[in-house]
Amino acid sequence: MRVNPEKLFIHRAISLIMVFTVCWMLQGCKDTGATHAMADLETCKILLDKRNWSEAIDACNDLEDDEGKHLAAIAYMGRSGLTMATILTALSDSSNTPTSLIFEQIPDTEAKRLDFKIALHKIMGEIQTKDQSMYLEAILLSSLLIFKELKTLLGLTLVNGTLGTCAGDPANIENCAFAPSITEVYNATYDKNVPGKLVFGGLGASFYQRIGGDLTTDASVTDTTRDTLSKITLSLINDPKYGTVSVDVTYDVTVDSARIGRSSPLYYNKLASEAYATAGTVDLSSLNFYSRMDTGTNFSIVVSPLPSITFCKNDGITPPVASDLIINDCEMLSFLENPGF
Amino acid sequence: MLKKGLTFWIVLLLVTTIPGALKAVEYRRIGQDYRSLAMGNTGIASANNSSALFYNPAAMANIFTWWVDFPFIQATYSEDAEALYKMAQNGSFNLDTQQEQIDFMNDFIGQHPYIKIDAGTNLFINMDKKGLTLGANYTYEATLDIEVRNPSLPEIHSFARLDHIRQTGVSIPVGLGKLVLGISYKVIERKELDFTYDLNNALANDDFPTLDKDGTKGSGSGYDIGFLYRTASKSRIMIGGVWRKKIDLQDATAIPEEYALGTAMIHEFGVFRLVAAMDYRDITNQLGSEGDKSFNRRLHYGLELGILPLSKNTSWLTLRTGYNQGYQATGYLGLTGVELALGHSLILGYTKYIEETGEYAGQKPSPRTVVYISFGF
Repeated sequence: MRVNPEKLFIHRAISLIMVFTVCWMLQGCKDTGATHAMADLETCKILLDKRNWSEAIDACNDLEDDEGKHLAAIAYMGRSGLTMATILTALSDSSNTPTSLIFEQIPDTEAKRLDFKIALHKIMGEIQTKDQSMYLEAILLSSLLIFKELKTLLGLTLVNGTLGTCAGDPANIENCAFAPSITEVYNATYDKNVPGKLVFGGLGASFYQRIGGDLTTDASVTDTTRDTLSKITLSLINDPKYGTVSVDVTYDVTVDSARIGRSSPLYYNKLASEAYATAGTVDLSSLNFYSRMDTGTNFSIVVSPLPSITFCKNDGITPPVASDLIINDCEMLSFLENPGF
Repeated sequence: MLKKGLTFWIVLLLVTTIPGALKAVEYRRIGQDYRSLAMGNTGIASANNSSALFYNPAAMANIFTWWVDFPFIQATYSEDAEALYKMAQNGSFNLDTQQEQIDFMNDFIGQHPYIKIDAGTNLFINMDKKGLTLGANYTYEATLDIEVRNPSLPEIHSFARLDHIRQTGVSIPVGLGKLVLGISYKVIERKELDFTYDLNNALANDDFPTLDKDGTKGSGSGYDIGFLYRTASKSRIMIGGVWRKKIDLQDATAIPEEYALGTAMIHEFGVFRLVAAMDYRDITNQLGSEGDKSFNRRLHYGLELGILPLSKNTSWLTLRTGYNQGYQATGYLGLTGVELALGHSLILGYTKYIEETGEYAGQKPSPRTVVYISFGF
């Protein structure tokens, strides 16, 4: 059979045009986005790997399983500059103390604090099945949030790797701004100023709210008890400042207390520390703030020239009880005097 | 220092073979060859070389001579693996201390080193120009796929697999050979390991799992049934299809069932031969994660231009290009593959392609290079 060259050419030309047209139409055919759950998860991971934190937060927040929630927590941490790798690596060096390492990562802006709060809540409040890494992250996050408040309250400083507080060394609460003080009043009998009130304003609602308040609502959990009825009779003989006097000194004491919220940094600190202690690879007992705060230890102080005074007494303010998920100033002042840093 | 670092990683990568539960994975098929990959990984209708059995047993009818590869070696590596190797060569990093290793993990977040080696022998005997061909492959395939992820707490996800594949098949023409049926039978022994090693493990000085100690093993057999329909037109249009039976491999990962269709056409112009091919593979969405029904990820198409044909199967020089899962590898003049052949005595192949390693076409590309050499007759 003889082939017509012209027909053959046309046939081939049409075929080739069709081939190249199809190839051109299909070139670069890609999907426009995720269509199934695993694809969403992968999108989140890719953004995390690229350290596109804000985009990762958006992508990961849509994920509903434990892994997705954990990745979202990581994204929040990452946005605020917190990488577990850095801390964990440093912790593995026995010459470093957990508290001093944590101190260096304390959130210095409100935005960072909020990121850490959200991350902590995602890990401890939303993830159903947690592993040791998650507990470790929760310990570090809760410690950072607690440390931030302690730093504000105690004026924490880090000098040559050693943490200092307003109490000084040796520790004395009287060196701190919130220390109880004596207010003098004019006494007509003695015609001079004499001790009239013992004043203690409490550590403040915001302190308790931030360490013991629920993360989700940020509601205040602070109760305030005023005790202005109690008084103590002060008798001085030849006191260098007041001479010989016998006066009643009134307590003007505010003792704040708080019930620790079930989604608070302190409660999550408790849960994570207990869980991590059983199998963790690094000793983080110094970051178990709950166990060192809710001790039931009452606080006593000598404010010269008064004798030793205990704020929490059954006749006025109920003394603290250990591990009852309630903390108050008496327990906290005891902790602050010996924070164990 | 360099040697120690390199040794560390070689040991890490090739002996202990760390790995991790790669959640999003590429479609891992056995026996994917440089020619098909350069043409967008097409081959259901267009396969015409010694890897035809891996694509469609009926496509063996495209082999018109004896074909023996003894041996063949094919190496596939990703750009990240190449970069890692170069860094090891020029001493860009040290891995002597734990801190250096951790720094390395941090620096390599998002990297995806991938290495695969195929080696073995192939034998194909064409007994009839209508398409009666007998064929067999004896192949070892070793894959190592690593990803460093999670910038907060770096994790090394890794996957290692060693397959020993023996398969044989026949293509049988029906009537004058317009329709060809093919069947192959394969036996596979598989060892694999899939795990995650994270910073906690590193700090706790946990041992890396090893393929020998911790890997899963399994073996099994299965068969493929395929067809190839060839028109008698000048365009030599071909339509092929294949069904691969699922192969259970005991504790190791099973090879899923797969249906695939492909089409190809061949034009010859003097000293040139042009092949165009298009495949739609995994029609029933058995590969990939649950819910992965991406059409584009399963679409493959490509072109091949043979210059100075030596036979119906090989040319002195062959240039190729193609789209694989929506990607065209960036090569010179859009080329993704080149082959030099001295008959079957010596074949040298070089291919660039991009594999989707995410969950849909366009999500996470892994650019790769394939180098091939075979001796035979």
